[in-house]
Amino acid sequence: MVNLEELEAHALRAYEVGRFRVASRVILLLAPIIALCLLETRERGPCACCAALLLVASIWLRWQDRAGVEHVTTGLLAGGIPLAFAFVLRCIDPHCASAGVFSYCTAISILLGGVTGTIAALRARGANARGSLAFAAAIAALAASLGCFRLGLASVVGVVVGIVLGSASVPRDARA
Amino acid sequence: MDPERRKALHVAISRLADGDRSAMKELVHTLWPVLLDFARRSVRQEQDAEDIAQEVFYRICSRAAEFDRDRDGLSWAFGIASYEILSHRRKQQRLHRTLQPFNFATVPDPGCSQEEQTIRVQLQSALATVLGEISVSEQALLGLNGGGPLANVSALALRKRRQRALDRVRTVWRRLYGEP
Repeated sequence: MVNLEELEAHALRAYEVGRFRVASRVILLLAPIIALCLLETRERGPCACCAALLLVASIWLRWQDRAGVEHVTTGLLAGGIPLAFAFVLRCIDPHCASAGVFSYCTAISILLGGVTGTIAALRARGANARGSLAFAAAIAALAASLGCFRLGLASVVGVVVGIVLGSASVPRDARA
Repeated sequence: MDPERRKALHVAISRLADGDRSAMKELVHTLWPVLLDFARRSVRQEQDAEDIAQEVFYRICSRAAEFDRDRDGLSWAFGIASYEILSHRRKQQRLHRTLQPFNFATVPDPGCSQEEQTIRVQLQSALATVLGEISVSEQALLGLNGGGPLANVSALALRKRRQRALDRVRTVWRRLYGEP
C-alpha cells in the first residue's frame, strides 16, 4: 500500500524539477542573443554581468508561477526593441556608444525606453499591477542593456517614464 | 468519475500549472485513486500496477507546468497515463523476448542427477574392494575377469560352487560395510 504523504512529497519534488526544466527553456532564446552581444560589444564586463542577471532573473521568475512567465515574456518583448535598436545604431554610427548625454543617441534610447515601458504597462493591465510591472520592466531594462550598456541605462529612464504614461492610460476599472 | 470530481481535478491541475504548490494535496486525493484503478485494469499484477501508477503520477506532476488550462485535466492526465502504460507493456514484452532463449531452468537434464552419480561411484568402489578380497577362481566362477564355465565340472557342482562364491562375497561385504 502506498503512503500518500510520501507520494505527495515525491510528487512535489518531481513537480519542482519539471517546473525548473520548463523555466530553463528561456536559455534557448537568450543564449544566442547573449553570445551575439558578447561578440559585438566592446564593454564585455558589464554586458556579461547584465546577461547573467537577465538569465538568473528570467529562470527564477518563470520557475515561480505562470505570472512570472508572463512578466518575462513582456519584459523580453519590450526589451527587444531597444536591444535591436542598439545593434542598428552601432552599425549606423559607431560613435554612439561613447556619445555625450545630450546626443541624439541618448534621446532615441530614452524614447524607445518609453515605448518599452508603455508596452509593459499595457500588457500588465488587469494583472496584479505594480509588482508585475516592476518585474517586467526589470527584465526589459536588462535585455536593453545587453546591446549597449550606456544606451541601456538611458533606456531604463525611458522605461520608467513609459510605465508611468502607460499606467496612466489604463482605465481605472481595468486596474481594479 | 462524476462531474464534480472531474472539475476539482481540473482545478487542481490548473492551480499547479499556475504555480500554486498547495494544490498538490488536492491532486493526490483526486487523481491518485483514479490512476491506481486505471493501472490495475491495465496490468495484471497488483505490485506492478502500484509501481506504474506512481511513475505515471510523478510524470504528470513533472509536466503540470506545461498544462494548458483550456484542455480537460482528466483527459490530459489519462493521455500521459496511457502512453506510460503502453511503454511499460512494450518494455515487458521486449524483456520477455530477450530472456526466453536463456531460460535454462525449464530444460530437463536427460542424465541422472549428481546424487545418483555419486551413489553409483561409491557402490562401484565398494564392490571392487569386496571382489579384491575373494580369490581369482571365485571371481571366474562369478563370470568376472573373462572366466568361462569349467568344462570338466557338472552343472550341479558348478551351481553349488557359484553359490559358495556368492556367500563368500556377502560375508566379505558384511565384514567391511555391515549389513547391506
